[in-house]
Amino acid sequence: MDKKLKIGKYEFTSRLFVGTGKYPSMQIMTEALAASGAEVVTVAVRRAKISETESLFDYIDTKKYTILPNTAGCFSADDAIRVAHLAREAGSSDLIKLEVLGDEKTLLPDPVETLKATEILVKEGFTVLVYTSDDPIIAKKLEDAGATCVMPAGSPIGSGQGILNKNNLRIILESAKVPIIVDAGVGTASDVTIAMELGSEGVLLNTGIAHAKDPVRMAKAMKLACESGRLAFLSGRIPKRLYAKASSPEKDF
Amino acid sequence: MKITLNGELKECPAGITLDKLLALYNFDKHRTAVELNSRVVPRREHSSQTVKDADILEVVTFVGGG
Repeated sequence: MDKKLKIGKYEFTSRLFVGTGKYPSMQIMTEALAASGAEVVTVAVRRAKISETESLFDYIDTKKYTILPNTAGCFSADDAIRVAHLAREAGSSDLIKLEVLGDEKTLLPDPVETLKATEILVKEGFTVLVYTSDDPIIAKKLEDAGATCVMPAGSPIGSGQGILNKNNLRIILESAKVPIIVDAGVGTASDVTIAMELGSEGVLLNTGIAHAKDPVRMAKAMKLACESGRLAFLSGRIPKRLYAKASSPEKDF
Repeated sequence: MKITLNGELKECPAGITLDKLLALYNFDKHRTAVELNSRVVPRREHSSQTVKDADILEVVTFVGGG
């Protein structure tokens, strides 16, 4: 039995966090979320539409899922803090996925603004899960600033390039005292497995499932990949060798 | 009186409280947050907070995201 994933005062069995954006339909999203086994789903904060009759929560059972609002689309600490306040008010939870981007083309995080927003939101009592690049120094600074969970990108948001710099991720994992969740860049199941095999506490993904040809089937694949990678990590892999080593007895023919 | 609601100019009864205004425009009160002239108004104040002419209101909710 694996221990639970602890994010501050919250505990989860599933280590796969899944986004709720960009699915072909709400019905497919509901089915994909169920197939993924996720217990945490991310949502964005946007202007409500006047006289809107449909809500995202018609399709997400909030008794079943923990809602993790993000600050996506924010390009400064001030903007992100504003969205975090609105999210807390709308959702009545202290959880926030902090995302402060530096550039619209790359969607890479702005490390300076991200750190500034982390410090302030932590002081205000938020449970901050912070999206960052795979830079080990910034990851450590975010941890020191009181982030509950640090979430380095495997590769740029929505790019599907997987874990581009395994060495950086390994360095982050080696010294981390808070859970590390790989967030962004996951393209397919093996990307999730690699992140988990390296010792990440979890993986957060959205596009990899939502834009797959069959999102529900891909959600299942991601679930299995996450469990598989976690089991392999806990099991302790064999060291890599340059030369062969026979699996069958070499004597007594 | 006229207010700006999510970027649109809207007519509404003078002295209306926030909770009544939200109901008037069919906002789901359970999953929304309201900013009145750049200040987040806590839910418990919605029934007492009134809206004045030329106020700027932002009502936000959750949508799909990653």
